[in-house]
Amino acid sequence: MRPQREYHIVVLGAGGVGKSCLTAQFVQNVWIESYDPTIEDSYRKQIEVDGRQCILEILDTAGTEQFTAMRELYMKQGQGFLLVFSITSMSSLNELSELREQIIRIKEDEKVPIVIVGNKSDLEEDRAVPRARAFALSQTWGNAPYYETSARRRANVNEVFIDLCRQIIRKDLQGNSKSSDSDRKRDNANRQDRRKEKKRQTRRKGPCVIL
Amino acid sequence: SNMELARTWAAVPPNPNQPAYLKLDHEDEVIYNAGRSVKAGTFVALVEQLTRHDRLDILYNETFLLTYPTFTCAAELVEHLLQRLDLPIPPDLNDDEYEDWLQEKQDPIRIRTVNILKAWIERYWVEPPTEATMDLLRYIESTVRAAAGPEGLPTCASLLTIIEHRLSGRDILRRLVSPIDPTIPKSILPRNMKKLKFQFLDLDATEIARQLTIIESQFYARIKSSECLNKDWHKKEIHVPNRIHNHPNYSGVNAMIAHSNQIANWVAESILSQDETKKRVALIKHFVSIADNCNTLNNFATLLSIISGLGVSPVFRLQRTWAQVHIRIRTQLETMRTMMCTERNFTRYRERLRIAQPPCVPFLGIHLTDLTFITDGNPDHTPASSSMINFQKRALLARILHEMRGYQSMPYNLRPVGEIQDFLIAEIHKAGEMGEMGMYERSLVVEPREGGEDNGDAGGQKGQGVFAATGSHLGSVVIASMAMRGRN
Repeated sequence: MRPQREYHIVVLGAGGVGKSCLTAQFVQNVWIESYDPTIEDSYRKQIEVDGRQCILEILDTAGTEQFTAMRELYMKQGQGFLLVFSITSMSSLNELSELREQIIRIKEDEKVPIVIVGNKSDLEEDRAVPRARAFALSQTWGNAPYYETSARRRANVNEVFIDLCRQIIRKDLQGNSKSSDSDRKRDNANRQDRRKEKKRQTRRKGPCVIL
Repeated sequence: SNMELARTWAAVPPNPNQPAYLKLDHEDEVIYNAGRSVKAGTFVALVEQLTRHDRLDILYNETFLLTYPTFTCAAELVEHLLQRLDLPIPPDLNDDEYEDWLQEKQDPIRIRTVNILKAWIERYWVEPPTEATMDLLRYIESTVRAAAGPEGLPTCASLLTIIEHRLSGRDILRRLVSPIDPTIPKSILPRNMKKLKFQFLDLDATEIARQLTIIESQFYARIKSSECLNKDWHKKEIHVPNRIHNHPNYSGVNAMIAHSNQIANWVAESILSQDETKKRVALIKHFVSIADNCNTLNNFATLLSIISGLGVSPVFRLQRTWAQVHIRIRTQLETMRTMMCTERNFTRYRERLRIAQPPCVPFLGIHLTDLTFITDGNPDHTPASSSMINFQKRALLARILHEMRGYQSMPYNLRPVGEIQDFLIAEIHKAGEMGEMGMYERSLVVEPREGGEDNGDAGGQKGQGVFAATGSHLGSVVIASMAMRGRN
């Protein structure tokens, strides 16, 4: 068995942009006749990124966008974020800025891994967000990658998750090589969890070096 | 149980020696699972399955009646059902065969059809009370009367009574009124109850949790299964802030979401509005204790709203306050946070809910996410032939709706205390006035930023890093937060 790392991804965006289609398409790579999202592994998927085996645990709370008070709770658990809008709705793009600000505040990190996703690219005739507009936004966000996807046609679906995962891995490696300075900045409430996490990472790191 | 029985029935293999006129007419338009449950079918075939003469599959019928709005409309369903009352006679039957067909097929189908209509109109009716709906009911009534003939059909009379009730606009839902139960716990009332003026901290946490649970379970009971299909709850915007109870513009789902947000705001604002650390500590302790009591009562909805309120950044960052909260209380809170944590698809919470002895008030958000993913993650039709309805998808939807109905039908054995409920509702409604900008400002007044100072393992939750790290962003963060508020 090759060593596996586990990463937590949070999918965010306004209701109706097709987040859940994107996630569902990603987690069920072969066509499964019946997708039951109530079971434990419904949102986990193993993928290979640059030769590494990773397990992605995806938190997509589609359907609960209006539970605004719980959003912070969800954001705290993510290491990387897919910010999804629909290319057919300008307001869905505008909502992403608010989400990004909130993520940065909660994660205490301006360089938190983010991928911007313009979904429903198959509805080109209904496009309301020019590609240049979304791209300009991505540039103001420290060159966050921008993809256009079609969950329906399964276009670019894997790519967005792999890109995000790659960013998290890179950050993970950088973070591990730096001193524990940034760790001290973190809150005590999560310290125990993080220690456990660190321990896990160290354990995982061992065999990784061989790779 | 009924479900088990239904499965056993469904598993009975078809009889190969059956004469052709007793077979199903649309058997070739349906696909079965290994266990003989229906996987997919054309609409006509699905209606045939719903009213089949040779066996009764209760689980199938419930799935159909709970989810029909996802694949048909009431008028079309009525049309097809009523046709089942009067099947075309198969050609070339001799007299004996005709009698056999009548007894073994047509008569049982008529009875099934009447029973399905009855179950639908009585227990699964989601049609709006419009004139078109009333016309439809009258149409059913006259057709059934005519088909039944002078001697009538069994249960036909009760179907007609139910239709009368629907037409008169009476609520025919059999409400479960809990009888006066000697085991009902005695209310814990404050001493100054008579003066009708009490302080929140004077009220017993157990009693507050009970009253909040009664309120929450009423919200939960209001949710209709029709709101949960086709992602309908997205289509109705929340636009009546601070008016939660029974406002007609709210669907049951949206009212419950608004209530949840309001409780979280109430928790956060109550704590932030206190000038003294001691009082904030006392409030945190009280809220944790209320949440813990909600946990005991299986009220996961209010529990999660409270811990969300305790977790918002303006409260979370108050490290000097948290440092004075007793370790026992903080552990209690941490245990609840862990239980409600999202990890592995809320696996801990799902297990907790599964083993909980009802009554329960589940967290609505997970139902909504499950329903969204079933809706978006499964095709409506089979890929081979687009005319086949993917019934397996409906079975997944129905399982969630069935579970919700189960929780809705189990009332709490708790005594409502009107004075305390009114007080709590008034307090909860007051929240939101501070707004998120207000909360941040207030949080900074209560415990000013201490740029980069590190208190080490003081035991409190360190939060100032949040602001130290992104201090320059604060302005835009606040504006963004305000914009988000405006949406709700």
